[in-house]
Amino acid sequence: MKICVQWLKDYVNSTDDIEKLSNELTMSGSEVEEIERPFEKLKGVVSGKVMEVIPHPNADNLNVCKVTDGGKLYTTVTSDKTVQVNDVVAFAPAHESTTADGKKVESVEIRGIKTHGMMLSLKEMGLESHSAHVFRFGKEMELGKNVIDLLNLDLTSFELEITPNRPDCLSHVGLAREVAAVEKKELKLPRLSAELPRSGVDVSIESSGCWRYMAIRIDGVKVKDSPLWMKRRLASVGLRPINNIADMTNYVMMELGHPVHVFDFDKIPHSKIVVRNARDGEKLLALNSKEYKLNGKDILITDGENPLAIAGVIGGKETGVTYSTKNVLLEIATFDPVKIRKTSRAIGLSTDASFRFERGVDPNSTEFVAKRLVDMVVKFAGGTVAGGSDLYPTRIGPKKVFLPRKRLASYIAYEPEPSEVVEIFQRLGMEVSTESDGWAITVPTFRQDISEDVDLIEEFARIHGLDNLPTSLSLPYIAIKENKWWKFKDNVKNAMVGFGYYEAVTYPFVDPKLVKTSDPSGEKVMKSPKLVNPISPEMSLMRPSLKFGLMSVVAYNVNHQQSSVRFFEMGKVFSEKSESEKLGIMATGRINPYDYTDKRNMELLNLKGDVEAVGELMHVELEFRQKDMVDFEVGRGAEILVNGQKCGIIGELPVEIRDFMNVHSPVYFAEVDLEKIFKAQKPARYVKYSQYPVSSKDISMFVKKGKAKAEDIIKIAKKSSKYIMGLKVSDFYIGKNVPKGSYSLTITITYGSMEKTLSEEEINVAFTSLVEELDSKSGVIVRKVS
Amino acid sequence: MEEISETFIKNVKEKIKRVNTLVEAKKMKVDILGKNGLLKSKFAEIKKLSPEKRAELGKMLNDAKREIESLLLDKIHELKKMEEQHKIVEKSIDLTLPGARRNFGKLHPISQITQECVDIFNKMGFEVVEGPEIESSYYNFEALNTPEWHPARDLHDTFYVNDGRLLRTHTSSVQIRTMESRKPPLRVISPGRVYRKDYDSSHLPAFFQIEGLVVDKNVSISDLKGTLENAIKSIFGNDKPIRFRPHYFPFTEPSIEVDVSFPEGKGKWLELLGAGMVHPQVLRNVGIDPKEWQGFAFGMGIERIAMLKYGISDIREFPRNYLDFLKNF
Repeated sequence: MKICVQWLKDYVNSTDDIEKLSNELTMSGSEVEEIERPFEKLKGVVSGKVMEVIPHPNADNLNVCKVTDGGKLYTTVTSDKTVQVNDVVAFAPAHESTTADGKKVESVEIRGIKTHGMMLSLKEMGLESHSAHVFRFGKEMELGKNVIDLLNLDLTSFELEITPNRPDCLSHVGLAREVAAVEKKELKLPRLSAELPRSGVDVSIESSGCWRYMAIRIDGVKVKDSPLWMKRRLASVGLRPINNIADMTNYVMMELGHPVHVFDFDKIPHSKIVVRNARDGEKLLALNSKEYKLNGKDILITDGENPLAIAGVIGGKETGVTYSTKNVLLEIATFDPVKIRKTSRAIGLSTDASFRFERGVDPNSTEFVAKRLVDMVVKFAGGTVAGGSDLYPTRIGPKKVFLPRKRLASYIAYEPEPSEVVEIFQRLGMEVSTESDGWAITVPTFRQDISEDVDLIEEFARIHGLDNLPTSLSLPYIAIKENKWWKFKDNVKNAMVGFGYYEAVTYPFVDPKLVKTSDPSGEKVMKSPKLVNPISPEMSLMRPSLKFGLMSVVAYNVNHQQSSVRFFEMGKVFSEKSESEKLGIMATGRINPYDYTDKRNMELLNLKGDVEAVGELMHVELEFRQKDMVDFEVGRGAEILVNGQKCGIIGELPVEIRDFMNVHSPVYFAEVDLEKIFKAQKPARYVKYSQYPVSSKDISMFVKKGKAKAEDIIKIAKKSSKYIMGLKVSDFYIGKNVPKGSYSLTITITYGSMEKTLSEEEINVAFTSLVEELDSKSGVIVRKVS
Repeated sequence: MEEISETFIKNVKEKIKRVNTLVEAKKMKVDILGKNGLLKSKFAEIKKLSPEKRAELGKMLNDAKREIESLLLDKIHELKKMEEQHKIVEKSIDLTLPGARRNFGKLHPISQITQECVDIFNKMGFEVVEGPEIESSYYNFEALNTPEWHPARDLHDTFYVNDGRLLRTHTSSVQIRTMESRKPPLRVISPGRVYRKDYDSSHLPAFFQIEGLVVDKNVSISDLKGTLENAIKSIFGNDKPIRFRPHYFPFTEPSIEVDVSFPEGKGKWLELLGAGMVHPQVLRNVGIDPKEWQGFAFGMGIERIAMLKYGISDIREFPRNYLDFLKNF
């Protein structure tokens, strides 16, 4: 919302220091976001006198004028035939001036006449929405003077953020009250003189959403332009002057915060007002020339039959005030904020009026606002008050709220001077009665945001100044508890970083089409939560896996000159009813891209190694069960298990997916359910190791894929003797001298005992029997032992 | 004879000079000075001469022997040294080559800042709590004193899920869940992802927040100020001016926003976090008696902190996850 500083000063004699005033408002809760000078773009425009007016030789509808700024004589062309010799105009010399919208005035040729500037209308000076004529000063005037000074356009306005709890601050008087409280000054309200008639207009309320409806009829008004000062003020707060009646409704709203409406009384067919709920499908052509369709929840102002206005939002075009309007009906009403908000949302229209009504307008300010409006209409548009009505079915009164002294002190950590407390509340328009243990405060109805003691504490704190309250670091002692789950996730992240993976953080929304690529049955898409109102269809599905986000990250990086990328992500994935935290890993390219001595590319077994290592660091034993699934290339995928239960998957992405990502080397992916791993963690325990020398034996063999599995070979070896202390794969090779479809495998077995040093013979017996057992196994050919 | 001896000595000296390997030099020592060496044969030759001549030539030969011996030893010494030098060079490594780097990754700046904040608040006694990202309207709004048609909902443009739930717009929902399941005193912090339908260079539709909650006896605005000032200074350093400005949130009263001024900002204040004393209605909603307990809550955006701390101007860098971006942190 905008206010004009010079306008604000009508109601409070505040500081002249603009920065200080802005700071006072900001630090009391009405944040000044921008300090503006509304007419700053209007530059170089001066008073000039018309010296000569002759018809344009080539155009009947134009005149050529000569204008002087007291020095030079300028040629200009105008279509305004009312401009006469000796008129004093606002003249914008070419190349040196700009109009209010910042447009530079150029020297142009109009139908063969070269101009050296132009005479401006109020529109071009930002003071009117439409202008019929060039602006003329009413009297003789010194020439060559800047119009900014001549028309008092050197104004300052504030763009403010008013929080939704403070509709009372959506006006100059409301903010003046705040400044008065901060600066400890008097609030000066406009003087009123009108008497409000209580009869003579037929009004009835049939909707519970209308809290108060006052109507005043004024006959014989003259609709014309507003005085310049009013235009100037409205323009300075971003409102476009229209005509005196419309401008006065805006003026009163900006002054007092209460939106009002004016009907052309003669255009109300039944000459009466009925406030009722709309009928479903009822339509109204509004002042903005748009037609709105309403339903039974919306409140309409009608004449009993015809809709005249959408209550609290916008008036109807049919009954709008025009230059030919003679008799008007002023509406000063209050509506249920929630109803107005619903209507505004439903028809997709937010106006200055609906913005205020949906935050809450005080029904008890009605008389004051009505008198102010009537005073202005009579003064600036003439006419006589011909009748009125005031319906206020359920009167609301001020609230009494008690602020205990102890409570205030406990919130702000000190006991303030009682006199300061009293003064602050009084300046905010509240009545204060001091009692032994606190203050009984009567809260005016324009402060609906205050209903309990803490609300009053806020009033004290913000006017006193939050920065002026003491600061302490003395929270009571509390035993620190560690969140083990959080810590676990942190440890996993750090482990992944240690294994050479960068962390990615991607959007949890994914493209349903992308999910379908690895889910032809559509089952995942069906089960994942979908957004009703996504940013775009490509971001409409809550991810069923971290794979999709990682795919786009890997693709983005690979397609931006990063050939080797290794990423992990930790985050929520979503299914129909639940969400669970997962670790996703995706990698492609070299194992050690920064090691120029290591040219190896990542293989699926490397990724498996990293997953196993995470398991080992977390004290969890992971198993892998080879399985073909839609996520991976055939023969290159496995399920990950913990305690026999599935907890993840690992594999190589299918070539089609890789092509889709525009990545040309194999891409590996693993995903594990972190909670299952967390729960399977075993506490670290000390295990005795042998004090006696051990010896190692190697056994190399060809393993035929599909016939034998490394897992079984290792199992057999482990079980082959009670003297096995350790076993590891020490070589793996595919290529020269290895039969097709097989791989060469070497395992190193460590023999030892907890009780003694094993004899050569004991070892040989154990080893020979193992070699024999393996050699007899189908798909295994032992080729070398040592 | 004399001439022979002289040319002989001269030749030998020349030879020694030309030797450039240790093996050759050692061989030469044997060839010249050894039992069957050249000098021995020369000494044998002079035995046939007259005693005077013998004495004269003998002296000459003896001098020559000493000289040659010394020359050879020097040569051997020199060559030995040279050989050692070669070996050292051979063994040496050009350490001006860049290191052959092992792979390492980095945490996303979001995680780094989150971790930093969690550590700071952990030390002040705050425990991490978490909650669901798909939330019911009750936990996200109603329990937080924000009924359906409240204008404050304008500030939270909400994503709705097809089953009627919503994506939480703040982690304050976790406060409610925590207060429902535990008894005060409470001191918790909840980091996590939140969602708002907003997308431009300073807003992401999914971003991260960290929220804190203290419920205790006699906790005051002063405690709130002290706690937050301490945290902000830990993150940004002691030299940044901080101000506490009144604001409005439906779930706190009084409500506060905290601004920080950065030297690069030329005196402009940047909003860093929202805070306030927990609204008594929120306490009542979870069955805590506001006459007995009071407290404060606060929340801040992780991306915003990271942007201010690292000088990142476009928030959309975070979800892009470009390696050249991630490497900076």
